[in-house]
Amino acid sequence: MRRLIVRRLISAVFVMLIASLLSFCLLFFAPGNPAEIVIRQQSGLDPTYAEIELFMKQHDLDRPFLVQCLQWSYLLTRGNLGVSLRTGEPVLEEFTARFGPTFQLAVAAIVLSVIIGLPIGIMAAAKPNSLFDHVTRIVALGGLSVPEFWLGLMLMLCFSLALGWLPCFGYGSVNHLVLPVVTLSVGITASLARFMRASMLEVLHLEYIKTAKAKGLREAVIIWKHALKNALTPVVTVLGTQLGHLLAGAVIVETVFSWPGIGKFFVDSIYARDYPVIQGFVIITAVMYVLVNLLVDVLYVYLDPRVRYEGRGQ
Amino acid sequence: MLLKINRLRVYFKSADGLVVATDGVDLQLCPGEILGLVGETGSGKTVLGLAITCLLPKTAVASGEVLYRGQNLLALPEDEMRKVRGRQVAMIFQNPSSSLNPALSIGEQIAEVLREHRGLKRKEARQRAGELLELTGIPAKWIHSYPHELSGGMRQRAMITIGLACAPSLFIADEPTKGLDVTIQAQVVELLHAVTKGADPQRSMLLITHDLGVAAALTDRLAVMYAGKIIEQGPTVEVFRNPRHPYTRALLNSHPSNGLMAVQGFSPSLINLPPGCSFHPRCQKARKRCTQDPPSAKRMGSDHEVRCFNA
Amino acid sequence: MQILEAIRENKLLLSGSILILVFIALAVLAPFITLYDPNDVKVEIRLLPPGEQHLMGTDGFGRDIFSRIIYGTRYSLFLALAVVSVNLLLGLMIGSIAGYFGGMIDELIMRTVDVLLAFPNIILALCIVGVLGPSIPNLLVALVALGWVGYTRISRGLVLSIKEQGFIGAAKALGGSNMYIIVRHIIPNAFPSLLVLATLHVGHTILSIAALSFLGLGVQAPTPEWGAMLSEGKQFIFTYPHVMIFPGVAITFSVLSFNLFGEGLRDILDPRAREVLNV
Repeated sequence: MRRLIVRRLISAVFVMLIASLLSFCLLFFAPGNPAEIVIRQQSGLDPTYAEIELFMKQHDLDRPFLVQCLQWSYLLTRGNLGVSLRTGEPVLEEFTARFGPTFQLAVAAIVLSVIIGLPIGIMAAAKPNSLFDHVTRIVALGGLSVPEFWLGLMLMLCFSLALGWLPCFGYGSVNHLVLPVVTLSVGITASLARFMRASMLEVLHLEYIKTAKAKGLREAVIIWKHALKNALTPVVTVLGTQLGHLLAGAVIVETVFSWPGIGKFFVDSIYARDYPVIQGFVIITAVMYVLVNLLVDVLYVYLDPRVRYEGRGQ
Repeated sequence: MLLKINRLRVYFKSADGLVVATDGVDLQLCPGEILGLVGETGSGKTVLGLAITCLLPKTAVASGEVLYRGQNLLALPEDEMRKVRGRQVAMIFQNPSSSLNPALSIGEQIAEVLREHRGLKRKEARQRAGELLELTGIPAKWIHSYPHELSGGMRQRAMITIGLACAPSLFIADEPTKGLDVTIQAQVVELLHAVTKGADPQRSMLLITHDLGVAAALTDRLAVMYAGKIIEQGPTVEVFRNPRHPYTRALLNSHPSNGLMAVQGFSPSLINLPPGCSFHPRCQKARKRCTQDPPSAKRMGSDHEVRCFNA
Repeated sequence: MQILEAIRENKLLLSGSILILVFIALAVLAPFITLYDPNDVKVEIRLLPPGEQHLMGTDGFGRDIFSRIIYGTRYSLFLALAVVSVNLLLGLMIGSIAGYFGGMIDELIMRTVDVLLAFPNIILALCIVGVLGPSIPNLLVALVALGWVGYTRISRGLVLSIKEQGFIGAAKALGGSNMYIIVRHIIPNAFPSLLVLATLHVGHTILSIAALSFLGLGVQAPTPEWGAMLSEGKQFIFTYPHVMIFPGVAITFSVLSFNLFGEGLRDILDPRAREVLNV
């Protein structure tokens, strides 16, 4: 258990380090002098040479790369992600203010995907090569092939325009939540079902399943208790890695549905070339990754009694 | 007669051809009797055990009869068979480390059998599981522990407890001592004796093993299997004292106490069995007839059978 | 012959390969299939519904949607293939180096890969395009920036397992140089598993390109790229939905074809999937 915590901490620190380096480098990749870009952003005018000089001095941009990099990391540790060029507010505050809607969307999508995806995977594995197995496999492949933004638009077309059941844009009621969540869930549901099936099939070949059969247990008990409890552990890891999918999906789905979360804010900031926000998003992504992995570890300990003593295997 | 197996044949369809795992097996088991089934790895011992409990993989095809108290288990619908497993015929497998579910506590793995077959409530089942553990030499408070927290010997005890939870009249143990330390092996043998011969009424056991020492210590009768056939069977004492089949003799000689003489040659592939007596390529006394006709069972004494032309 | 046999037996592989071949044919033969120039603006026939003259109707500028979709195959297919091949080669090289040399180099590469794997591909791509500005070269850079890590991890694992096998030792004993051994023995052996990953990745990349273009950050309008077409057609979603429906269908089917192919390929190459005798 302690080994697990130490390993998690080291990896978390490493993730944050690389993330801050990445996000710092982003500005260096930008064509032209960052000072020039920023001033043009703020004033809308081409800056003079003296203005650039002054700006660079004020913001320590004339220091060597490494010094700047360390400075940026230091500010990060204090939660300072800089100020949005567009709104003039601190980037961190801009993100926290928009976190709620994104969190709603993400949690609802994960819950929906788990409720639908896991049982499908389990049932497909219980009867491999059955009609159900083949059909769900093709449907899942289809679900992984549909572009989210287009699916969202098509759902809108169908359920808002043609049937008039649900609102197509905006935020507020539960009705507003339905279409974005469904759109976001399709891909995650499909991959969860596939992972669940594979993991289940692997477990169903193991010795202790034969023992369970020899005990005269019902098939349902064998599948939903004996096999599932073991097959779930790898799926939980996958659930953690689905965060990437979720965030990427949220960026697109929020843009399509005008959902006021951090994803939409991020895309709007890209259009506005709001560099501090773009940089900040990299950091936010990394922080979420670390947090979600922590959650996955907690789930792991709950699911697999062995972890309590040894630590999670790779 | 508790168990009577008639002409049991199990084969698997594989890409290379038919794999005949057991071929024309006849066996009987009286109430309270312990029958040892010995042979090399791949001789079909385990398949025989699985066939009795109808747990063969889906790729297997079984024919013949497995009569348990006169009822043919092979013809039983799956749902009926499920009620026989664990309640009347229990089977435990080799290697308790992989045969116990790592995600469930020992207590739960015992209690669920009681709930399923005895209809006990959750609490009663827990209580009973603790008592059963005590009987097999594990402190009752260990019901909350998980398999990985137990030693190899303790795991095997837990396995045996699971098998015996519903007091089955037939207990099939597949290599119960494999992979255990010698001292632990002795304890497990003692336990197996206690739960069969020591039980009231005495319980029948089919002991599948490749360890002749274990077989000698526990069994009343012995059946020797080679390439899917029972080539010799009889009272254990009789078979040990007076082995009639060359393979049995070789097997006995291979035991460390008899000088560790390995059986010459290799066990045959079950896909391409040699014609005639399957053992003839490895038999020093093989004659022309051995290479042509399969020998039928020959009665040697009141209860001793051998499949060999030379016996 | 063995490959053809395998394709005929596996339905996923069969349908995937047929679809992929169709898409490649469409891309190559685009000028012979279409009746109109995909960039021919004719405002007087704008937003025509699907009909005899224009199979899938016309878009907001009066361009023939069918022609644009056929020509769009070129962008999606070839951009995705380019991205995946660069990633594959890069990952294969870096992964082989890590696996083959081991030690500090391995440690450094793999730690970095682990962290980069944590980043959603498209998020960093968005950041990069956002900073560099939208254009096709920048799009490629953005998709390669993180794309190689998956292949690195897998090829390293493969190299490690292959390294254990005898014939590498034999090649070394015969005096093969490091480079020779990597190119001649390790890469050919690691290839099948990487091929599965790459095939599935092509589909994924088509989706990423379409998404970035849809957001206006990838291929730019008026280029007849599917995502860019959807981006342009957004405003007509409720009034002239045909503008939006067909490009999306094209994306879905092109991605599906690679997913089917990759899935079928995995069935064949993954020994675990085969029926095993467990006696």
